[in-house]
Amino acid sequence: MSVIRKNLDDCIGCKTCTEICPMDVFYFNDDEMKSVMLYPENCQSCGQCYLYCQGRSLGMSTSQYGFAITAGRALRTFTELMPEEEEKSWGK
Amino acid sequence: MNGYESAKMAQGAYGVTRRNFLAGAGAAMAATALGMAGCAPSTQAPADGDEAADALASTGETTSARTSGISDELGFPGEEAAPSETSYECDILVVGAGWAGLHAAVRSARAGAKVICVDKGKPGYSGLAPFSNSTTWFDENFDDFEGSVNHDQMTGEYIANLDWLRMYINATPDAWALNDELGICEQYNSGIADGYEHDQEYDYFEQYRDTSSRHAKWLPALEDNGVQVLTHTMLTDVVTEDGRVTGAIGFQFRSSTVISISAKAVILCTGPSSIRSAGYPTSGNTFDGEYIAYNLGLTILGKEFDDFHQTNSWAAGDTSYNCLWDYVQPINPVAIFNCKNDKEVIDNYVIGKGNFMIRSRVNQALEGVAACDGTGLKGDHSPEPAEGDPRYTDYLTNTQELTAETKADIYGIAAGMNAHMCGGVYCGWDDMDGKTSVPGLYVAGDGTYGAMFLGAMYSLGCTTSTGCSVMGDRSAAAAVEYIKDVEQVPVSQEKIDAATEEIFAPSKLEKGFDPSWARDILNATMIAPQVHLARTEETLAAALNQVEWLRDRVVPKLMGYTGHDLRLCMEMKHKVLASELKLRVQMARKESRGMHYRIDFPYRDDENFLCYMGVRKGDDGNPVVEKVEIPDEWKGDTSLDYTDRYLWRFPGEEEALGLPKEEKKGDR
Repeated sequence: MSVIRKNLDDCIGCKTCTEICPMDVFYFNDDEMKSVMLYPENCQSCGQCYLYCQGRSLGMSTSQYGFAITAGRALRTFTELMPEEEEKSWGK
Repeated sequence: MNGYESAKMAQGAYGVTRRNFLAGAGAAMAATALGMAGCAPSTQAPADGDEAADALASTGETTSARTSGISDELGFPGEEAAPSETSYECDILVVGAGWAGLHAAVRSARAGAKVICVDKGKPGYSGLAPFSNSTTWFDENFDDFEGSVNHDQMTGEYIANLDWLRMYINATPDAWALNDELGICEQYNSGIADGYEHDQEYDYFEQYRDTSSRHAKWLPALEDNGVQVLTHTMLTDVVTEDGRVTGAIGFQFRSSTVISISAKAVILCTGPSSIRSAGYPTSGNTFDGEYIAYNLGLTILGKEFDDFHQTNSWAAGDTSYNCLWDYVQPINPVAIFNCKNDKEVIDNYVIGKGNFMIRSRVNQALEGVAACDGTGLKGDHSPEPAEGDPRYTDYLTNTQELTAETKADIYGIAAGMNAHMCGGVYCGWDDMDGKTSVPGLYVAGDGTYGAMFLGAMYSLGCTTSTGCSVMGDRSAAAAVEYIKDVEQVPVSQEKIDAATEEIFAPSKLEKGFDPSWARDILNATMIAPQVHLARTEETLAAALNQVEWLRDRVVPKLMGYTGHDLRLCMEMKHKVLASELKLRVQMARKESRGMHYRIDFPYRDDENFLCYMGVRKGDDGNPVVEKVEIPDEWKGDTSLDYTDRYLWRFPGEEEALGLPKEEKKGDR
């Protein structure tokens, strides 16, 4: 169960979802004046963003973004924020 | 130039890389206003202009979960700018802005203290407070004081703190009065009465949102009373010097900024927490207060009494059924203290509660869960309110009409969540204020203050909101007195540096584990029915083995490069500890009682376990589980026959004790 974006055009840039989400799912793009649904995998489907969205831009889906359980998984993240390699570490 | 290279260029234009920022900092990482503001990643437009920004936005590699095609979402916009202030000072720091935190903060401020309230989200929308749908207070014209106490004693399986309960019942009218004054319990016609159906009708929401939203009133309720609120800040440490509280350290995760707060007293109101999957709105709380308290050497009670909550396959996690409903409803008063002091009334109540809250759920874990066939849960079995009781609304009737269409057939969506008001820090049975043994540290609220006034299960429903409110009131009064003789001490730079290093440790790893992956592994261990609901020594030991692996080999290798992910890493650390403590306590309580069921000990053992099981950090750093004895006055008549004391049977109890088989009621 997760929040979804029904139509980004409907987002009026009020920042309500960004402020109220308890799970830090939304951030805000000041240049485009749009919220950014950045971490949908942490959505707890409380529905507050959907309820309080001024533009009716959001919806709720019964499916949830996630990964299959595996024996290990690294953080997939913003490329530009990864630690830089200081030395090659293959085989060490 | 490809997208990746553009992103790299844009990264340079946005300022220092994460790695450079952290590697070069050393002592300069400390949260001084000047240092952090200067070094924090900025969201200003890059000097190179729009091309780099566009390239960054369109790389597709912009979030930890995104794959192409899911949405038109814009890319990572960068973290927020650091706050201009990173060093704060107050008399009383309140951690958490739910029912308890709201009361603790407002009462303290009204008493003249300088108050800061820190919340992990935005007050009114975070934690469990947004989902409250009922409340209650004592009305001497309609309620039965001793009847209520007797209901609680027996339903709570004879370990309920009846002293605290008596104080609480008398304190509820004042607690309710503040909530009423603040306008967060406004009463109006219920949505069902107005014809609203749970199918996502926006028009009704907007009417409600614009006129009656209680969530929007929460933050103003704090600020209008002079409380300074720091939102989107996770409290990571309570700082002590010479054994007494001097303040706290927090993490403003949206900007990856460490802040410090010098405080004479701290009131932890961090709420009830759970180990749960994404997609179930049973709280964003993650045992933060418990982690802090445990590491300060305090004893935690009630971890074995787990209220696993439920939803339904018909609309699993469907916010419209499970949560939305609660938003659009007012906080409905319920007459819960009108529990007649009559044996037959009490007995029926106890049996109803046991069957509904425990027997039926445990049977699901053992026998399987019935498909949703449209049969309804017929609401609660709370006592009928008296004619003319001003608290009575159409709520109960309408709730039953709603549930007639659906059935809860998924259990255990909030593993590890204490039964409401059935867990937290032990402050001694003489305590009524949440005063811990650490001078200056108080606890209040669900899951945080172990007053245990409902015993082994959620004996008197609808008591959480006023229960937390009363706890907030009491802790505020005690803290206000305490601070009169206390000097302000700044949080030491050494402590800030140490906390900062620990918070940012996951950002230095190139190899490790995604905290969201670790969450799924922990969930698979802790939510399994043989761990969560129907346990044996073997299943608990097996789970403990898994959790210890996570503790030793995964938690130290959790990775996080954004403030969001660093928050997730800390939350996983807290949840793993909470899991370990819970398992150890459940292994130690070798009986069944209330919300704690063991297949291998399916009966109550008054001789050995008419007490609480507390867990604390031992001298060697490992958890120690100890019995916490309770006053005899709470224990009821121990000379009664077993079946007169305990009216409902756990699965396997009759066989284990050689009792006659009884007709099973309430099985589904």
